[in-house]
Parts: sequence; structure tokens; C-alpha cells
Amino acid sequence: MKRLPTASRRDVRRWALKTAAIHKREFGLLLGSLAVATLIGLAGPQLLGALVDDVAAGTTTGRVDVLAAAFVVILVLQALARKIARMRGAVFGELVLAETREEFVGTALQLPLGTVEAAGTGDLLSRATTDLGRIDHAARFAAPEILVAAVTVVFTVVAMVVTSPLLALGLLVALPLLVPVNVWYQRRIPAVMQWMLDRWADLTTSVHETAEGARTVEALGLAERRIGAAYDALDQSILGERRMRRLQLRWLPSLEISYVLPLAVMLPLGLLAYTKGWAGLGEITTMLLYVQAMAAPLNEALFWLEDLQVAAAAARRILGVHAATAEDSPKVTDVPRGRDIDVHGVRFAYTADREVLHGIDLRVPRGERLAIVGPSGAGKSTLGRLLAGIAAPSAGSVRIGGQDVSALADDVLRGEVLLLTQEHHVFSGTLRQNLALPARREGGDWTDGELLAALDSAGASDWVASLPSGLDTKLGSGEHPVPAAIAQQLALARVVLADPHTLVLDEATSLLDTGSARDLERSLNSVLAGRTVIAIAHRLHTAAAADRVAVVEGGRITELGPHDELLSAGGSYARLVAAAS
Amino acid sequence: MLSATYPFPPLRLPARPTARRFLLAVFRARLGTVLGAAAIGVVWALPGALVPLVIGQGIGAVGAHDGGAVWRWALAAAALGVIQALSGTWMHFLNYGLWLHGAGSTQRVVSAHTTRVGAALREHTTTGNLVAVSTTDINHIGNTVEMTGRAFGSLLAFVVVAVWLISTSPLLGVVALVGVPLAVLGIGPLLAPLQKRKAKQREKRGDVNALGADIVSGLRILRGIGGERRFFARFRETSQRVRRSGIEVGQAEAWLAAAEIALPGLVTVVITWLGARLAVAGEIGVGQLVSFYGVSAFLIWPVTAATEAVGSITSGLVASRKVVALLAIPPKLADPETPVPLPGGPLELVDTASGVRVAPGRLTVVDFGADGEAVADRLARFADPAEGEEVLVGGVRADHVALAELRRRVVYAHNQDIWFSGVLREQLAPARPGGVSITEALSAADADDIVDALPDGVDEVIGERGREVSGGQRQRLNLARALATDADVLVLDEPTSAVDAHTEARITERVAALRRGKTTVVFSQSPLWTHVADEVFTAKAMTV
Repeated sequence: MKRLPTASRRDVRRWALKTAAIHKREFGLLLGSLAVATLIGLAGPQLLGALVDDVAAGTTTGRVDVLAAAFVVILVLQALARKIARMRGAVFGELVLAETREEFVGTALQLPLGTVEAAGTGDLLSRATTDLGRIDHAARFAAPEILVAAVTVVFTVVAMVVTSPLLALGLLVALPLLVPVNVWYQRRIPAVMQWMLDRWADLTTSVHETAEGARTVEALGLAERRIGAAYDALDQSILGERRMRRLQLRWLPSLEISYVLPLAVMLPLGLLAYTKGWAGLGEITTMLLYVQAMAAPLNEALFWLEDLQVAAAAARRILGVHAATAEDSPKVTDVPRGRDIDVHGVRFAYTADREVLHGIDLRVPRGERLAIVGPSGAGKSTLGRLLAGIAAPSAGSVRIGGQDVSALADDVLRGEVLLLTQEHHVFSGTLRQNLALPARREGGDWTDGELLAALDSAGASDWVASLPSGLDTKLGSGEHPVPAAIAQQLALARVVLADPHTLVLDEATSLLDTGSARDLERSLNSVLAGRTVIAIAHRLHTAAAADRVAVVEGGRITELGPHDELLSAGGSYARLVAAAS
Repeated sequence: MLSATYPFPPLRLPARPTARRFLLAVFRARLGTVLGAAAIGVVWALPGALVPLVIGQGIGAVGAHDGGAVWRWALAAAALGVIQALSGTWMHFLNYGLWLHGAGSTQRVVSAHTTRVGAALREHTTTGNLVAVSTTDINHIGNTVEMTGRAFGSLLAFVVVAVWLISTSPLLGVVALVGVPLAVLGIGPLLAPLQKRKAKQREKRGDVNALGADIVSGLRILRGIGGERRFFARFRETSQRVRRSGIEVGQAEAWLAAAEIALPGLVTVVITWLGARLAVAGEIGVGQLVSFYGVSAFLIWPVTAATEAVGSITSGLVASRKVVALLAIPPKLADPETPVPLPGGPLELVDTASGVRVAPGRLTVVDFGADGEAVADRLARFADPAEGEEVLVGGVRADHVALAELRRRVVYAHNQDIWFSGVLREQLAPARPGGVSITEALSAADADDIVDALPDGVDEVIGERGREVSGGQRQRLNLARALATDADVLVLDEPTSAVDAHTEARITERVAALRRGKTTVVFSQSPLWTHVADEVFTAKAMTV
């Protein structure tokens, strides 16, 4: 499985700076309100220092009462300022979060299909849930706490230096411990964290697969094995968490000790200053209270730092998706001139050493019905994907009206050629939302009449009539059930709406029982009238009805011609037909 | 090195646990660690309470020019710091362990139950909800279990400080003992609206997550046919709703933050003010005044810890409710109260509603078209027949057989079955090895060429849903997986609908040979299956 790319740490930093710059106003308000709240908070220890000096010098209770009143005023102001800062934090955080979320899904919706399929939906899904969730958590809790702590620590240090530069020197004793231990830790934690996140993502994939395949699990008695797989994935995640814990256990004690040291040093230093007359008792009190006041925000920052780092690692996975779209080749703005399809010298390999198609030449004139038959694994589906422009050939070209199909812009391509496969997905939403996917040529929304007509040509009008709320019936898991045959008819109705001139059918009816398949094929016939149709088929009556039949074997076209001609030629097509009857 | 497995003591859950009972069971499974974390939490919290006293004494000593005392208090402060650092680290170890236990054992219980529910699962919940539980909710439960140590420690530290205050000045002690709980109670009313808004926001976030997951799951279709813009517009709308509810939560949290400063701060001011009056009256020294201030400032901490604990328990209960709801999902079909064992050997299947009678040890083909699936569902008991009709397996009514035994003996492979990611060999290997090897199964399903084309053969890792291989190839692999079970009865639904006629002819002959002597029912309309069948049922008449 090829994972989607991950952004570099520099990309994340650049993104953070850019986000702050774009929302200058919100970010400025947040920082400003935070600074005011912190400044007001710094007045407390100063007041107590004044109180200590007054008491030491002898004072009146009246003066004490005044100072106490001042305390209360400061307290109320500080609380209000903190309230405003919090609110600004929520506004800014939610703004950035919504933007990140929407940008991510918007980007995912532009991923090249080949990329999504190679990476599996699990990878993308875990980014959409776990990683977004981690960023969400960090933006809601860790980021504001760390911001408050950082502002508090910086302002407190400044206040200390202003109050008493000599005693502020005591802060320096913390540095020899603080700096190297943090450098050691910060260097190791990202890799450990990344590994751990990937293991949690594996667990999500496992949970997702088991839920999607609940029936298969029961039918084949795989429950215990799937539980085992979930336990194993969990064990790996837990192992990742424990590696993180081990790192933290070596880092935490030195950190905590480092912020009690200045306290111990400043007492004797204070004695020296007081004895020499450099500082009053009130000043020393203020300074000691400041040091103590710093421990709490530092602790808080510490507590949340790992969440912020987890979020940074998650952000790399979220932003990495942008890089995946960049891998896509640039689309041309040209539109095809004509509707003939030309396949010339096409080779295709999923990986360098596994070539599936070894040189295909084919011309499909407008309006032709071509059936592609051949043994499973011969490369029929791959050819179909190339014809529909979903992947580009490794060598050679697939052109519609002289334009490379895979280079056409999505909107242009869909009006030209569509691929209909046996796979379907019912989105949780109304029938209307499930149906109205293609863009309407005239713009605007599809009318009920158009949607119902499309359902009718797909042969689903009876089913629609049986729905409790018609087009507004909710479908999808937990809502109104949609049988496989109907899901395929919905897919067909979408094709009617998209109205492409060429349609590639890749065993679109093969997972249905023959009866439903025949019904669907009947509806297909009305849908297909007037279009170029390339049908990858294994049921030979489809081939018999086609204008020409191409037999694909071992990545090459071995026979090509009308049904009757191939039959009388007595080649592999004739043998195929003989085997089926 | 760390060992790969982590011990998870089993949770002892009652038959229908409530959210609270579930959380309690999680606590009880690691009671020792919980108590240990609480004990070490006390050792960790006490220095926090004592440091202000030491600082006060130190400042008193500075004021008295007592050099020896200053050094003694400085050393005491350092010693307290070291104790706090070491016990804090130990507590972190235990708390982290408790988080792992809370999150991990919840995930295990959820995984085990939802997997065993089987086919009925998706009628009761969505994949998105399951993913949300195993990403978000297990986290909340972990957090609830984790906060024990801190909560206990700060509680005790509060008591110590209160006792010291009372012994120094009964008046101040009473102010602290009454004031701080009042401050906590004052914060209380703010918590209820916050929790309500949080719950609402969580629901909205669930919506946006589910929508994101749905978009990702159907990405192939959206990219194929369009609709990205419409779906993005829907996502945006949902996302903006999450933003608005997030700001509402922020508002409530902002008031809480203000109250957390103002209410305990008022207690501190009152204590300092009373202390200063005592100092002016000469009843206490300057050092003690500083201690009063420091100690009462310290009191903010237990208050914060208490609100945190309440918040985390509330979130834990909300998460636990979701977990309990998943655990309450019943299997679709009831197990009989007194199960009847099945006879040994190949079994006969009878469905009275359709008249299908599958002879033991034979290959039977049922060609009922669209109606076939309902018959298959009944034969393998994925659905029960209507009142008055019955399904007999080896002469025993299907609903009288223990479901586990029935599933073991009668395997029903549907052509919508999915392929799981993992090493091919492991995915092919049956839960209980029978007399059919993987090689034989692959050969009978004419799938050996698929395996040969893979770089690592049967050791190749196949991704989610087996998307690396084509639909026809996947169908053959699925058939091989079913054949490898070597079940006494194998019910196959359209097993070769996506393969070409050549291959289908090979498969039908090989499957008939491989399954000789065992009961096999194939639902198919292909003449190739009819060729090899011992018995054929068509919608109109029965032919042998």
C-alpha cells in the first residue's frame, strides 16, 4: 500500500505563519487581549510587596484596607481580560479549524483517482478523522494554554528584570538543566510520535474494514480473526504510546527540578541584597512570588506541549494531501474536436516491473458499440480506465477528438466519457443528493422532472414510487436500504444526467444476478442509444450485440472484428463462445 | 526494549451495563494502579502546598538577617522541588498507564462485541460512528481514568493547607475552609451550560466527521462522475455549523476561565487582607503574611483540579454512553435456548417455502434469478422463514441450532463479500483448517495465475478491499477463500458472475471435483454450473 505523502515540518511552520498573517485582525486581537490580561495579573505580587514594605515599616489598618480594595479591583479586571482573551482564542481557533477542515476535504475531492486507490481509503479516512481531531483538540486546548503560558512567562521575566536585575540573575541557574534536556527531547519526540500516529491510523483502518465487511466476517467465521487483527493493531498503537512515555519519563524530572532551583538560589541572593541595602524586603517578596507564579504556566505549557506536537505531526499528514494533488499532471484547457477515439501504441505498468498492457492500437469511431472480452486479468479493466481518462498510459496515447483523454480537465472529461463499474457507494443523504452529482450543463439545480426522468430511463421508477418521501428519502447506512441492483440503477441514472457521448462499462452488471442484470441491460439499451459504448463484458450476449468485438489476452488485442466474422475465423473468441453454450 | 503486548486485565461487565457501570468496571480492572496513582498523587501535591510556607519562612529569615536560617529554608525549598519532580514523574508513568488501560480496554471490548454481532451491525450503527468511538471516545474514557492521581493529590494538599491555616490562625483557616468550597460551588453553575454546549458541539463534530468519512469512502464515484462541488458545499455548511457551536462553547469556557480567576482570587484577597491586619496588629510576622498569600494563591490549584475532574468525568460518561450503546447491539437472530446439535457428515438442507431440497453430499444449482438470494439467506440462516415455513439443516430446524455451530458447518459466501487488507495467505486461510489446502482452493477457483503474477505470491500484502486486483480476479480470490473453509455445506451466491466463460468452465469442473462428497449449493443462472450439477432447481420446475 502506497501511503499518501506527508508535509515537511517547514511546510507546517510556513502554513502556521501564513494562517496568522491572513487573519491578522483576529490573531492580533487574541494576542492583545492576552497581553492585557497578563499585565494586570503582574500587579498582584507588586501590591503584596508594597504591603510587606508597609507592614515592615509600620502602617495603619486604613492603608491595608485601601490596598486590599485595590487587590479586588485588579482581580476583577484580570478575570474580565482573561474572559475576553479566551473568547478571542475560541473565535480564532474555530476559524482556523474550519478552514483547515474545509481545505482538507476540498483538496481530497481533487485528488487524482489513481492516488486515492493506491493509498486506500483508510489512510485518507484516518487523516479526515484522527488527524483532524488531533488538530481540533490542540487548537481548542493546547494552543490557547501554551499561548497564555508563553505570554505570562515572557512578561514575568521582563517584570522581574525591571523590578530587580540582581535577583533576576537567579533565573539563570535553571538554564544549564533546562536547555540541554529540552534539546535532547525535542529531537527525539517527532519520529516516535509519527510512528505512533501511523499505528493509530492502522487501527482505524482495521475498525473501518471490519465494520464494512460485517456480513463477510459472520459468513466466513472470521470474527475471531478480525478481533485478533484489531487487538494487534491496538497493541502496536499502545507500543507507540509507551515509547513516547519512556521518552517523557527521562525528560520530565530534570524539567521540574529546573524551575524550583531559582527559588532556592534567590533566597540567599535576597539576603545578600537586603544586607547590602540594594533591595527592600517588599522587592524580594515580589521577586519570589514572580518566580513561583512562573512555575504554574510553565507546568501548564509542559502539560500541553505534547498535544501541540501531536497536532504538528497530524498537520504534516493533513497538509501532505495538498502535495498529492500537486503530483497530478497539469490539465490542458483544450476541448476535443470530434468524438472518435484513437488508442495508439499504449503500454501501461502499475509498477516498473509489472507491465499489464503491451502495446494496444485501437480506433473506435463515433457511435460504435465495441465489446472487449478476454480472460480475467488480461488487462481489460486497465484498458477501460485508460479509455475513460482515469489513468494515463506509460507509453503511447489515448485520444478523443485529437486530445489526450487523461489530460482533459475533469469537467470537460465527464461530458465526453464516463466509466461505469460494478462498484457503488450510497452516500448518506437524500436520494436527490445521491443522484444530482453531475454538473448541469445549463447551470443551476436539476429539476425534479429531470431527476425522475433519469431514474425512469435507468428502470428505477417502480422503486422510487415505493419510497416514503420520494426524492427526499434519506438513504445510506442506518436509513432506507438500497439493494445492490438499485444502487447500480442509481449509478446509471447519474450517467443519464451527465450525458457523455462515450461510455465505458466495466462489468457494470456483473455483481447482479442474471435476472436483474438483464433488466438493467434493458434500461442500459435506452440509455446507450446514440452514444459510443465500450463494454468490458464476460456475458457473451453483450458481445454478440456489439458492432465489433476486441479480444484482449495477455495485455494485447489478439482478435478484432464483428461477432460473426470472429466466429467463422475459429479463433479464441469462437472457442469462448463454444465454451459458454 | 518494550515488549510488544500490553496486559489488559479483562473488564467485568454486567449483562446490560449502564455508562456508569462501564466506567466503574474500567476502574476496577486496574484498581491497584488507580490506588497507586492516588497515593503518589498525594506525595506529588504536598510539596506544592508546603513551598509557600517555606518561602514565607525564608523571607522572614531574610528580614531577621538570619543567614543560617535562610540557607536552611533555601535547601528545604530545593528538597521539596526534587521530591515533587520525582514523584511527579512516577505519577506521570502511572497516569499514562491508566490512560492506556482506559482507552485500550474500551477499544478491545468494542472491537470484540461489534465484530461478533456480525451482519446485523450496520443496521444499528454507521461505520463513521464506530470510527468516531475508536478515535475520540476511547480517548475521553482514558482521560477520565487518568485524572485520578491528580484529583486525589490536590484534595489532600487542600486539607493540609487548611489544617496549617487553622493551627496558625483559626479565623484565616475558617475563611479558607469555607471560602474555597464556596468558590468551587460558585463555578458549578457555569459547568452545566458548558457541558450542554459541549455535547451539542460534539454531536455537530460527529456529523462533520461522518460526512468527511462518507465523502472519502465514495471518493471514487465523486471523482468519476462529479458532484465534488455539491458535496463540498454540504461539508462546508456542516463545518460552519461546527464552528458556530464551537464559539458558543468558547463563550461558556471564557466565563469559566474568568470565574476560575475571580472566585478563588477573592478568597486569597480576603485571607491576605485579614493577614495584613493581623501583621499590623503585630500578631504575626512579615514572613507569615507572605506564607498566607502564597498558600491561599496555591488554593486556586485544587479548585482547578476539581473542575477539571468534573469535566473529565462528564466527558467520560458521555463517551461511555456511546460505548454502552454499541455493546447493547444484539445479534440479528436469536440463539435457541436449548440448542440441538447437528448430525455429523454432509448435511441435507430443506427450505419449505421455496421447495428447495438440497441432497447431502451433492452439488445443487439453484436458478431462481432475483429470488435466489432470499432462499440462500434462509438456507444459511441469515434470515428466518415466514411463520408456518421452516428450514431444516440435517433434519434439524435451523433456528434450533446454535448459531456458532451453524456458521461453522454451513458457510454462505456472497458475491458482495469484501476482501480484507493483509497478507494474501492469511486472508485465504480458513478460521478452522479443514481438508483443503490453500493451493488446492486457489487452483479450484482458477486463481493460481493471479497469485503467480504477484511479486510476493501468496505472501503479497493486498490492500483495503483488494482493489489492486480486478473485479473478476477478486471474485476468484473470494471463491478460493470460501473453498478453503472446506465446510460441510457451502452456499455460493453467483460465484462466477464476473469471470469469462473459459475460466468459468474450468472453475465449475474443478469446484465440482473438489467438493465431491460434501454438500454444495450454487445460486447461479450460468449453464456452465448446470452442466456440472447433480441437481438443478429452476423457478419453474425441478430437474435432476
